[in-house]
Amino acid sequence: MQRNIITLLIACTLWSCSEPDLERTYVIKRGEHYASQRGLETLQSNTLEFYAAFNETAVYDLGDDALQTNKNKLLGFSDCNSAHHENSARFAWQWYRNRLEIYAYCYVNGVRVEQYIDTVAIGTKNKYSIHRSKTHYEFSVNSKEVIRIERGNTCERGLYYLLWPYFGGSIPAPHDVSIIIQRIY
Amino acid sequence: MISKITFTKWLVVFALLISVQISSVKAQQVTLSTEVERNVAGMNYGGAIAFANKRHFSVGGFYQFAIQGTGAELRQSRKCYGLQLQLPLVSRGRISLGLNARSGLINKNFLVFIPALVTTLTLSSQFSLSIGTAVRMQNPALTGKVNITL
Repeated sequence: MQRNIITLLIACTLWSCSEPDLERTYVIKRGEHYASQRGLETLQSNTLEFYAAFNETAVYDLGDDALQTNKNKLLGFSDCNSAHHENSARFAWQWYRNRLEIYAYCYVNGVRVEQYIDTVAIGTKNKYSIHRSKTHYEFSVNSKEVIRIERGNTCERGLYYLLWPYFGGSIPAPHDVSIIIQRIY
Repeated sequence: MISKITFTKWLVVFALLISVQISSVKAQQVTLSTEVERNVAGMNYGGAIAFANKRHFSVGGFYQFAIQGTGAELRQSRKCYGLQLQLPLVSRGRISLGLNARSGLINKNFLVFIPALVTTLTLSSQFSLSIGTAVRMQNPALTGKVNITL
């Protein structure tokens, strides 16, 4: 038994000492909405920062403008003790008119608020940041212009769960979509 | 999915778990610990106090702070404090293995839950060393502790 404990201890220690997996590829399989590699994680500071890179799989044609402008979600968080359809802040993206558009995508007291931020290039790594101030969500891409969206009536202290890549809208991914995300802690 | 999980409800659940633990802690030993944790965001330092019985069930509190970090805001603060409980899993000779659960607040506002597997090597009746494997922000974290039993 003592040998088993020592073996387990060594295994755990080796795992703990392993380099953290900062850059992860999230794949949304064809016909799916949710990405692989989702996990239960909570926001631990006022700012969520990360790098993300899209590749050619971000190009798609759903054949209808109304569907094409459905926002796909990148990364974000639910606000204090709220479900994400009540109060949340996320980056969203869409392939529209041959460009990859990035949006701020929020729910504020159950009302959806979307605001265009910027266009990014396929194959480039861009820095994304959402800062949660007392009154607003502040979005920026590559530390450029800050887009501010007012927060809803939520608390300050509590659970803020992270929201992971999601394709749609109503239509699932027409093919496998890969997004590389590198968190900044 | 997760709807209206309030901080208060979370505290009540955790406090209930701890109260169940406390009821089983009769012959109390008080242990003070200093600890170092290496996690994905950098190094954390801190301490804990735990009340344990002879069967190594323990409850207590912890405090952690960071000196360094890589995130813009994490550099400034990352103070974490809360309650902890530990359940013994296996104990043989001087080595024991336990499951540790911590819950509290980080950066004043953000609720965290930190599960860990902790192995303790008893050096004497007063001193012991612990090494733990925790999960922080979906990444492994390594914790080392020096424990003094009062």
